[in-house]
Amino acid sequence: MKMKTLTGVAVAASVMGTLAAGADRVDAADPNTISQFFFDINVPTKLSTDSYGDPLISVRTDDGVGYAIFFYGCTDNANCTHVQFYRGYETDGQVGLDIVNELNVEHNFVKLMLDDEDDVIILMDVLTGEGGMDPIDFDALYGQLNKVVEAFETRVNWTSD
Amino acid sequence: MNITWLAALGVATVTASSAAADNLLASDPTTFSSFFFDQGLPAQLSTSPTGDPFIEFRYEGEKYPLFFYDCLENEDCLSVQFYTGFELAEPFPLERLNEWNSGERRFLRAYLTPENNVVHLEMDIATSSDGISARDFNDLLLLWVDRAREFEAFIAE
Repeated sequence: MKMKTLTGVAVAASVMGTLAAGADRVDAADPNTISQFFFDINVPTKLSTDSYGDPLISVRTDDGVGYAIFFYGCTDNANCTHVQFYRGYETDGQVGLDIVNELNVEHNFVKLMLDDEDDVIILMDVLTGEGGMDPIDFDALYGQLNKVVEAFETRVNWTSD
Repeated sequence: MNITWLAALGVATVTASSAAADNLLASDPTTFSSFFFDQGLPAQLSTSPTGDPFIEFRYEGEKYPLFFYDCLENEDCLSVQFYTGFELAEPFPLERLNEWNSGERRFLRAYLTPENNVVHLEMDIATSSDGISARDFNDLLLLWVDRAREFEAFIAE
């Protein structure tokens, strides 16, 4: 049975208050709005550029692993239309496609795959849309991503070094 | 390669207001019905076996489902999902599905349910509190139709 929910949020209710009315909409066209979202929920980020010159945000989560946020649909490296959360694990073939497939069966919005080196990659694409997205809605999707990450790590008894 | 996503799809423009008030919301399925009508696409709103809203629409004659998810007692849904599935005579290799999932095919997820040997392709769209504009939903719809056809050919290879 699918465990699908956008009601799960990444942060405690006490921190959610910082996303109340007045918080800027989250918009791939303006990477600073994404940095601001993570600042508002007390998560460190670093804004840089990728090898194509598009924006790139590194998110540092409590376990020190974090996410990379890639930007897509950009015009001349700006005004991007959507982002992709990316988290990789150096599983080196130790986690098979059966587990990857099981998690893809069970969870919406987030996709798992094995890359060319048989490492598990977890991805979530977010279209922030015209005029950006309400930060509450962005937070719900971020919560879903964290939920799937937790489900994966529990499934394979993952411990970060 | 740095090409704009919309340009790559050759997306036709949608003459729709960008005002938030006109956004499509899973919590109000008639907003999707109206969208399909405005686009000249036949669509039928009903309920799924679980009691949640369900829309079946036609695109160039083909029928496609649109499921509603994250509902509370069959109402106030938070997301919709484009879906297609194919029941196969033989087990489909997970390596091939991984190849599909590994490509530059964003917003999509393919998986296998081994108990019935069905391969599934899904695109989840969160509408949550704000909804999605008609323009953005149309972009995703066009992407979906392209990818669904590509997927059908992919699994037949």
